[in-house]
Amino acid sequence: MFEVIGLNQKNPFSFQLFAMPNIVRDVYLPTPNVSGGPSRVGMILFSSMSTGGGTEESWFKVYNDASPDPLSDGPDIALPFSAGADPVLAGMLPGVIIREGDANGMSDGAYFDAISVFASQNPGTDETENPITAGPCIVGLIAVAEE
Amino acid sequence: MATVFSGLPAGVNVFNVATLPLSNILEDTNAGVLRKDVLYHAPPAPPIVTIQIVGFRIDNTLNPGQDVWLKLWRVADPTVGVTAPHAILRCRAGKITEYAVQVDFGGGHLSYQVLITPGTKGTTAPTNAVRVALACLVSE
Repeated sequence: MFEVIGLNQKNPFSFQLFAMPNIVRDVYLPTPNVSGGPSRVGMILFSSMSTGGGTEESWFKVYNDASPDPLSDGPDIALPFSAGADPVLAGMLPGVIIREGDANGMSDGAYFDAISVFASQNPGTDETENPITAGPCIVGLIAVAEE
Repeated sequence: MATVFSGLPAGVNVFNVATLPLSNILEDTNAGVLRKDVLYHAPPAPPIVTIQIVGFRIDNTLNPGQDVWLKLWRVADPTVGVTAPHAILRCRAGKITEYAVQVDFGGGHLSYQVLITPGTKGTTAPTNAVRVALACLVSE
């Protein structure tokens, strides 16, 4: 796992890259130095690389939960992507940028209390835990903690 | 001239932005109601074969006590709570959330509904209206 974590700041931030596809629970999120509150996640990047050029359709899932059970806990975010891209071509790098706010304005990122991620062959809530098989899935996540 | 979408339900408006490709902003003032096959061309207009959504905006400010999830299906007639959604996006209680991400609906069918349960299960809509806007590219 590659990570950059800024700790000695009022608003700690993190940029992490890690490999999947099996479920990764309780991804590190920086916490504010004082309040210890939730973190705002601004960007999630995900890519898959195949060792065999498969074409299975897959879903990248994000849970606002430190320890979800994918067989019973519905994902908070679920996005389709095509696994199995040719590694020579570096495959796809889809990603999502999130903004959150209210009638008074919008800010980069949305709050998460905790994050777990999973790359599954099943849409929606998994009936069986079925991670993609076409190859590793690389996830990049940018988060900042605010007081 | 851009073709007009057929049979839009009350509360759903589609604003055509450009014609090559068909670029539209779909605005729904009450997305807690199930919208089936919402972008549709009645014959003799050519059928829609692909829908690409490149931006999502969920306005849940009227529900300060309920998190909601926008669920989108790529079938014309999903069974809510049973048919697995093709995409799911969260909006926290009392908030507006925007997602910049491309989601493709090959086959040309788009159905959606905002519900108060994540994942596949759940059939209950939010207590108050949730406004949704989708930036769509439509190919015939």
